[in-house]
Parts: sequence; structure tokens; C-alpha cells
Amino acid sequence: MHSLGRILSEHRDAVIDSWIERLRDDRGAGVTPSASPRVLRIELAAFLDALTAFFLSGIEGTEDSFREVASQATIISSARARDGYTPAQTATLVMSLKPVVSAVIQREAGGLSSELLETLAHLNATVDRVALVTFSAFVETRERLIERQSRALLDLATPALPIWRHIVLMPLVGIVDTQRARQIMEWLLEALTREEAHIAILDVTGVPVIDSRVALHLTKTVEAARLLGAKVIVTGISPDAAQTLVKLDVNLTSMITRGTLRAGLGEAFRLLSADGQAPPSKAGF
Amino acid sequence: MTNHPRSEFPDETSAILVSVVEIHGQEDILIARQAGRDAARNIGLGTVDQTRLATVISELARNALRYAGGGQCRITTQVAVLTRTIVLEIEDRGPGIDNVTAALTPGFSTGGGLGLGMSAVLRLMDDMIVETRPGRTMIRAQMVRHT
Amino acid sequence: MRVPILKLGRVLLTSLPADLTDQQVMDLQIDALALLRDDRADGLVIDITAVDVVDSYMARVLSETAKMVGIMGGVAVLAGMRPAVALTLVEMGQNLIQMETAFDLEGGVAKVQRAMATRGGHRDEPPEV
Repeated sequence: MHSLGRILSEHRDAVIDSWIERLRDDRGAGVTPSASPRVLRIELAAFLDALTAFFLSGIEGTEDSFREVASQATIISSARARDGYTPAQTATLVMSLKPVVSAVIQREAGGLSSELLETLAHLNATVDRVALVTFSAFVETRERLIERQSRALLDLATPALPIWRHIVLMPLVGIVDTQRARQIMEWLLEALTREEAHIAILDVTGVPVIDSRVALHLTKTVEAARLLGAKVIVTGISPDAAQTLVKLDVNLTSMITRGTLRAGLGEAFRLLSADGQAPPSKAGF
Repeated sequence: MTNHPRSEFPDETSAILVSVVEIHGQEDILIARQAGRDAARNIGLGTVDQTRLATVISELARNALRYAGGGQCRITTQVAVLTRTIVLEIEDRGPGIDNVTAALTPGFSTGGGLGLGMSAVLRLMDDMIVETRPGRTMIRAQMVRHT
Repeated sequence: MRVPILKLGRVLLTSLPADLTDQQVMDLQIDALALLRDDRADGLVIDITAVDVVDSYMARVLSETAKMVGIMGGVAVLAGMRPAVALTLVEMGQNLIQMETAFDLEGGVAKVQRAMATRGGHRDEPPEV
């Protein structure tokens, strides 16, 4: 069994060369024009060295040395997940090591023997095990990527703009689900505090569906703003939404609503002067 | 070939018990609350989550103090690649909760409170388990955040 | 230690510390009501800028205090709640805080004064006939 490690270390460069060649021949496999050949060689060499060390470390290989193999595989796989490779391409990258090394071993052994078969089986089992690690690392990186992108999108879609002294405007665009509603509430309250605003205008013109669940989130936002001593004006409720809300018997009495942003702004100014704050004509920027 | 547990995956980390606070008086509730806030901050949770957790500790520790004369508050954190978890355990040696379902209903109270304590905990945390019998009650509540 | 209550004109002001015990909240209620009874104020502004946890017990005592102040003819305003605290309270349940609110101490005082102006309230001079 130790022979696997010995063969790999003796034929290191040859294995890497034929591995790279194989990847190049195998259309749709690990290599695409974007991957620089130098980087690929370094990655594969690091992986192969870790694998060699694993085979040299004992009959079954030690856990520590396998961990190193796994971590090299994770590095390769994560990099590919980020660069937009498919899972199949990434798996092929690792799996294609099998035929490459098999060929070298068979050449070395010079003929079929039970020892050769055993060595090949060991190689296959190890590469399969590495492929599993590769796959889970790939999925994990992808998930993290998607998560980060959706959060970035959310940030972009929900700005809180100080449009007048004591007035903050938050235009909502897109679907409002529970997680997003929580986030919106948090941002709105923080903006109110940061801008020392007394009034928030929440414009829902860009929210495609307003149902009882969205209404509940809006109600909670209004209540939370009230606790800070601020008022929320909801604007841009479409005729469709108004019909839906009334039919669903949603209680919106705690909420100030206006059809248009313009009417909402007018209401905001009225509330400010009623509170003894600077009237619109004098309110500064 | 040995069968490999998840230890070979890079996201595997074990849970760490970060704080144990004995609740004997009202001041201890404040200490436990602060411990919860610190634990949440240390694993990177935001102000709102810190506040949710501190509020939950306040509710449960007060219950332990009022109904059992005291108890113990344990906070465990776990950081993985994709998730951050805080587990809160409040244990007491009191008479136990007669009817857990009723105790979790908003408005229910046996101690003259507003009866919001337990149901509020359920809303602020992601998961809650109540183990209760005369002589021992353990409430385990968990907050999980995806990073 | 009891939380001190200050007086500004006919408004009582108090600022709650972050580490507030249940007993201190209860004492505050008693002290504030006593000052109102002696006709030394029209209203009460409770500043909770420093408070980072308002649980159901504290919410209840604060709301009850406001109702008691109301019954005695005054107005109580809760000022300066932190965003995270407001969010948590809203998630815990509806209408946990049943009292007037203001953005800060200044807004709280203004609110008490406006409320008392419309209500008549306590006056040092007899009304004009």
C-alpha cells in the first residue's frame, strides 16, 4: 500500500502534466479559459502533494494527513464555486485524477496482480472520499455566495432617506416577507433615531402584493415607531391593495395611510406644524 | 477505510459554554442579562438580537426567582461556517409548571404577572423546549442566525 | 437605591439607569404618584435612553404608572426608547406599552405641556370669569 505514496512522489511532475492534459481534453471539465494554467498547476500540485503525504503516512493513512488533503480539495472547490463552475465540472476535476494515477501505476506494475488491484481500489476509495468533501465545500461556498448577494440586494432595495428635517422616507420595492419585514423595521427605527426624525413615510408603491401578512408587518412597524415617539405614514397603497385589505378585514386604524407619496408628504408637514415643529416654509435642510 | 464523521468538514466546531450565572436575587438577573448580551455580541450578533436575548433571560430568570426562589442560567454558543447559535438554559428546583401549554398562551399567569413572559420568549427565540416536573424545571431556548 | 425624580416647572423628570431592578421600578411609581398627589406637578416624563432591556414586567409597571398618573389628572410620557428595545417589545406582543411616547426628554416635556394646556390641568391662578 505504501507503494501508492512512493509512486506518486516519484512521478509527481508526470502525474500533474497528464492530469492537466486530461482536463484540457475533457471538454467541460475543470479547466475553462478563465483559469490560468499557472494557477491550476499550483493548485493541483498542492493537492497532489497532500494526497502523496496521506498515502505515505501509513496503511490506512492518518487523520491529520487526510485533513490536509480535504483542506486542499476545499480550497480548489471553493475557488471554482466562486468562479461559477458547475458542480459536475468541479467533481470531474478531482475524479479525473483516478485514470491518470491508474495509468501510472499500471505502467509501474507491468501487469495485473492482486496487489495492483488492491492498490487501485485504495486509490479509488480515497479519491471518492475526497470528492465528497469537494462537493460539500462547493455547495457551502455557493450557499454563502447566494446569501451574501441576496443581502446586498436587500440593502440596495431599502434606503432610508432624510428628505426634510424630522422626516425620513423609506421606499419599499419588491416582495416583503417575514425576514425582510424584520430588517425593514430595524432599518427604519435606526434611521428615525439617527436622523432625529419624528415622522417616517413608508412608500409601498413598489410592493407588488399587499396582503394581510404584509399589513401585519406594517402594523408592527407603526407600533414600534410609536414607541420611539415617531409617526409612520404609509403611502402608495394601490386600489387593488385597498380592496384586498378591506375584504380581509385587516385593522389599519392605527396607521396613517395616503394614496400618494405627495399626499403623504403633505400630511407629514401638517403633523409637524401640529406638533409645534418648524412649519414647512421655515423648515431647513 | 474508516467511516468518517463530519470532522473532516471545515465548518465543524463544537459548542462552548460561555457563562453560568446563579440566580438568587434581582441583581443576578441583571448579571445574567449582561452575560447574554456579551455572549451574543461575541459571536457577532447585532444589537437587536442582543436585546432579544437579554429580554428573554430577564423573563425566564424572573420566573425562576418568583416561582422557585432561584435557579441557574447557562449560556452556550456555537459558531459554524453558516450559522451562529446561542442556547440558553434556565434550570430551577421549583414546584414545576402545571400546564406548559397554558403557560405558553399569551395572557396566562399564575403569579400575578401580565402572563406574557413565556409566550414572549417563544416569539423572540427560534426554538424552545420546556422540561418540567416537581423539583426540576429546565427551559432551553435557542436562537439561530445564518451568516 | 431609589431613582431620583427631578422637577422642571410643573413637570417631573426621571432618567432610568441601565441596571434597573424590579424593586426600583416599583419605587419610582410610588414616588412619582406621591409628588403628583402633593400637587407639585402636572405630568411625568420617564427617560429610558439608557435602558437596554424592557421586559414584560417593566412594560407593565410603566403602563400602569401612566394610567395611575392619568387617573390623578396628569400625563406620563415615555421618552428616548432605543430602536432595539422598541422592536423587541413589538415582537413580544401587542400594546405592551400603553402610554404616550416621545423621541427624547425635550419632546416629552413639550408633550406634557401641550396635553396640560388643552386639558386645563393644575393652575396657580383661578380661571378668569
